[in-house]
Amino acid sequence: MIEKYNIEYEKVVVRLSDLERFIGYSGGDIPDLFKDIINEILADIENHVNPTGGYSINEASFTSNKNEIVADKLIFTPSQLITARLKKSEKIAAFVCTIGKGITEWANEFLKKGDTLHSYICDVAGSVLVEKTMDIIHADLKLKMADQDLRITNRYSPGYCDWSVAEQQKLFKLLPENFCGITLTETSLMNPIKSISGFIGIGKGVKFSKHDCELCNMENCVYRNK
Amino acid sequence: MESLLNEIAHCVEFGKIDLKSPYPPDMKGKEGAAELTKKALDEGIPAKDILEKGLIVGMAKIGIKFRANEVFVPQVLMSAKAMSTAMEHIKPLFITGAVKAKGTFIIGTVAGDLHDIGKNLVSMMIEGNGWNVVDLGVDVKPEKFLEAVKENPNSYVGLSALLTTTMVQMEKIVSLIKEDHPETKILIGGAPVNENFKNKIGADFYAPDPQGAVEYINAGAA
Ligand code: B1M
Repeated sequence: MIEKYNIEYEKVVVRLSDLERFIGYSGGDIPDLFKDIINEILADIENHVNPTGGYSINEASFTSNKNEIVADKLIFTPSQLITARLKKSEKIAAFVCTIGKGITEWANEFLKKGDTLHSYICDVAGSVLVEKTMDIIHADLKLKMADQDLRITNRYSPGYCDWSVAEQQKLFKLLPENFCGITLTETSLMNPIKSISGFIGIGKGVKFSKHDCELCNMENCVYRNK
Repeated sequence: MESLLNEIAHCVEFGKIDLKSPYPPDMKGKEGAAELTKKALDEGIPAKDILEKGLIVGMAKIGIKFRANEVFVPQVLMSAKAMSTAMEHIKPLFITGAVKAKGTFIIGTVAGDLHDIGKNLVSMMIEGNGWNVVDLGVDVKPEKFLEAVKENPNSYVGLSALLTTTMVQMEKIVSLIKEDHPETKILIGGAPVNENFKNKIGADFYAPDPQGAVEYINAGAA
C-alpha cells in the first residue's frame, strides 16, 4: 500500500522558537538582528517550499538472529539498536519526505550575494521544516493504524545509529520510482537535499518511545533531546 | 596604534562589520572593522600589522570560542563578514606586495556529497587567518583536487564529507594527490570522520573543527 501526501505550508509552519534552538539560542537570548533575519525568512519561506512525503507499507519479518529485517523480500541490516526497537513489527512503513529544491536554491542565491547569514538561516529552516512535515505524516500514519488496532514506532533512518546510509538504495526499492520527486545518487545522497527517509515499525506489540536519543552517541547533535 | 589594532580585533571577534551594522547590539552606532581598518591605513599603520595584529587576532578568538561552544554559527558568520569587509581595504595591497598570504589552502566537499555549511565555515576561518583559499565547492572529483594542487604548488588541501558513503572518496583523493605530490599536506574533517579514519587513509591531519584546521596549517607555515 502506498500513501502520498502534499502538505500545505500552513499545516506545518516553522516558528522562531524552532530555529532558535537549532542554531544554539535556546534560552531566548537571541540577538535582535538574528531574530529579524529569521522572521524575514519565515515570512517568505512558504514561496520556496513544497512539502511532500509518503510511505509504502510492507509485510515485515525478521531473520533468525533478529538483526535483519525482511521487507518485501529485501533484507535490511539496521544496527542491533534499531532492530531491537522494530522487532515486534508486523509491518514496516518505508517513508521519504522532502520540501523540494526551492529552499536550497534560495539559500544559494543569498550565498552568491555574499549574504552568508540569510543563507544559513534559510538552510536551517529547511532542515526543521522537512522534519516537521514528516511529523505530520507520522501522526497521520499513527491515526490510520490505530483504526486497525495497530501501533507504530518512532522513525529510524539509514545513516543513524550505525545503520548504513547505503541501505537507502534498498529502501528506495520499496517505493515507486521518483516518488515525491526524490532521487538517490550512487553515494546514497537524496536530491533534493532537504529530504529524509527511513522505517517506521507497525504492529500490536511495538511502542513509541519519547527519549530515543539515548540510542545515539552523537553528543553534539542539534536534534538531541536535552 | 596598539589601541586601534585592538579595536579592530574586537570588531572582528564580535562581528561588528561597519558603522551602519546594528550588530552586536552594544556596539550599535559605533564604527566597525571596515572604518577602523581604513582609519589605520590612513594613519600609516602597515597593512601587515593591521592584518596580523588586528583582523587575524579577532578571527582567531572567535574560532576558539566556537570550538568551545561559547558562540554559534551565526556569530562566526558575522565575524567572517566583518573580516572580509575590512579586507576590501587591505586586498589591493596584496598586489603591491605590502602584505602576503601565509600560503594557499585548497578546500572542497568530496565527490558525491553536497554538504557545504561546514566546508564554508572552514574556508572562511582559514581565509580570515590570512590564507589564500581556493574553494572548489561541493561534489568535487579527485582529479579536480589534483589539478588544483598542480596549479598551486606547496598548498595545503582540506577535504570535507558529511556521510559515511562519501568519506570513502577521501581515500582516493589522498592517494591520487600523494602519488604525484607526496609532500602535500592533506587534512580532513566532517561529522563522520575521525582520527582512526585519517590514519587508515594516510591523510596528514584530522580537524574536528575549523579552528583545528587553522592551527594545523598555521603551525606548518610558521
Ligand atoms: C578540512 O578540514 C575540515 C575541518 C573541519 C570540518 C570540515 C573540514 N568539514 C566539516 N568540518 C567541521 O567543521 C564544521 C563546523 O564546526 C562542522 O561541519 P558540519 O557540516 O558538520 O556542521 C555544520 C556547521 C552544521 N551541520 C549540519 O548542517 C548538519 C547537521 C546534521 C544534524 C544534519 C542535518 C541538519 C540534516 N540531515 Co543529516 N544531518 C547530519 C548532521 C549531524 C551533525 N550534528 O553534524 C548528518 C550529516 N546526517 C546524517 C544522515 C544519515 C542523514 N541526514 C539526512 C537529512 C538531513 C536533514 C534534511 C534533516 C538536515 C539537512 C541536511 C542538509 N544537508 O542540508 C539524510 C540525508 C539527506 C540527503 N539529502 O541525502 C540522512 C541520510 C538521514 C536519512 N536517511 O534521512 C548523518 C550522516 C552519518 C552517516 N552515517 O553518513 C549525520 C552525521 C547525522 C548523524 N547520524 O548523526 C564540522 O564537521
